[in-house]
Amino acid sequence: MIEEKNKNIKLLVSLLLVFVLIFIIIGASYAAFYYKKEGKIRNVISTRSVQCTFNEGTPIYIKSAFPISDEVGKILMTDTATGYEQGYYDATISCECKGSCRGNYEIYLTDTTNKDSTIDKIDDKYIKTYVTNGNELEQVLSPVKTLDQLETATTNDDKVIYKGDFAGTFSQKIRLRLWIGEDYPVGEKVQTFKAKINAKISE
Amino acid sequence: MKTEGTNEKTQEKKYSRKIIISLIVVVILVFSVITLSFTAYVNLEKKEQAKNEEQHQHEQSQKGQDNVFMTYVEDINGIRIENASPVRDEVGKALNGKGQYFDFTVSTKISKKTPIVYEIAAIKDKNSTLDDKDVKIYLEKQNSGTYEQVFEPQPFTALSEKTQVGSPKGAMVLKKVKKTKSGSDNYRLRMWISDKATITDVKTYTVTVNVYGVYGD
Repeated sequence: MIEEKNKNIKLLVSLLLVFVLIFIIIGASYAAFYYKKEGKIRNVISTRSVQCTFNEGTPIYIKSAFPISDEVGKILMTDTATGYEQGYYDATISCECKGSCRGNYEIYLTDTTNKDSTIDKIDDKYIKTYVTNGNELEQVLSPVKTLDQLETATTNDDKVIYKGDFAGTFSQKIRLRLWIGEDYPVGEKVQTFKAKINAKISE
Repeated sequence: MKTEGTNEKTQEKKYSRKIIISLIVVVILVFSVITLSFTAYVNLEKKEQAKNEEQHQHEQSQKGQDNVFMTYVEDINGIRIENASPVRDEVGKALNGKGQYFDFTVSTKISKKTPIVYEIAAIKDKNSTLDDKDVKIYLEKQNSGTYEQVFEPQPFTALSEKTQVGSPKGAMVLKKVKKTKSGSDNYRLRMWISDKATITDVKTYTVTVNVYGVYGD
């Protein structure tokens, strides 16, 4: 009987010690510091996309053309694909917008005549320009002006033929007519004018 | 003799049974205590969160002993940039308009001599459609009234595994700090589209900021 009592006491003491040990371990774990806080504020960036194409048409090349009046110049019907002709040049700028897009564009003339030092260039004051939208009714976008009267482009020294604003997907065609003004001094020397039509988009 | 042997065996059996029963009772008691204290803690945390959400105020929470205290407070306004275009880093770092940066504060109160280590981690929303490489992330810390760069603008760089402090796998650790004194640290986060990105569609990128803390060495 005494032996059994002793055994029971030993058992109880052992169990108590186990209990205490477990709680010491748990207590020690809870004593360790751990912090976690998840943010609620969502920081968001969303994009929009603008993809543009520009059909610049044929390069401009006028050589030893006869001076003509503005009335004739405004109705020139020759497509200049053959070159050396006073006529019209078509160009189209198109932009596809996904999301919200807003900005402006410039269609400008880049003079390439002086790239060839052997060419005698026609003075800008004798080259006439006239811009319509190229549709059937030919809405005027820019009246008759000489090249030196055109506005200078924002980022270079090129001449702005036409500029506009856009909001969303758009397409703009321009028809540029070029001719030699009546005040051009016709002489023996051969003079030339070469240019390219370019476009720039800003948002 | 035979009777004595049988009695001994019976006693042994009884004793073994007592041990087993006692152990089972101890295990049940221990698990009950753990479960009850955990449940009590979770309910307390939920009550606190619900109260703050209702009032639309900055949330605060703490965990740990009373002599160590930590909070993470977010500004009400986060980053909201729509129709974003790619920009250079010089432009992105200077974004200061409404909705163009996100301010937050991490505060620590340390009573013991044991320092606290905390990590600020950016968590990317799984519905983000922009590539990580197309977005730049930039963090500044306020020092004597002026915000100073913490790291150069860089794309989101995900952890390959959870850190010791607690930032989970897939998060980006923006800053790891060891605090030996109590104080508040103010931070400013910015995000922008990298100027190297080619954007051909409408896409989004969403990030939240978490904070994790442990005792330091």
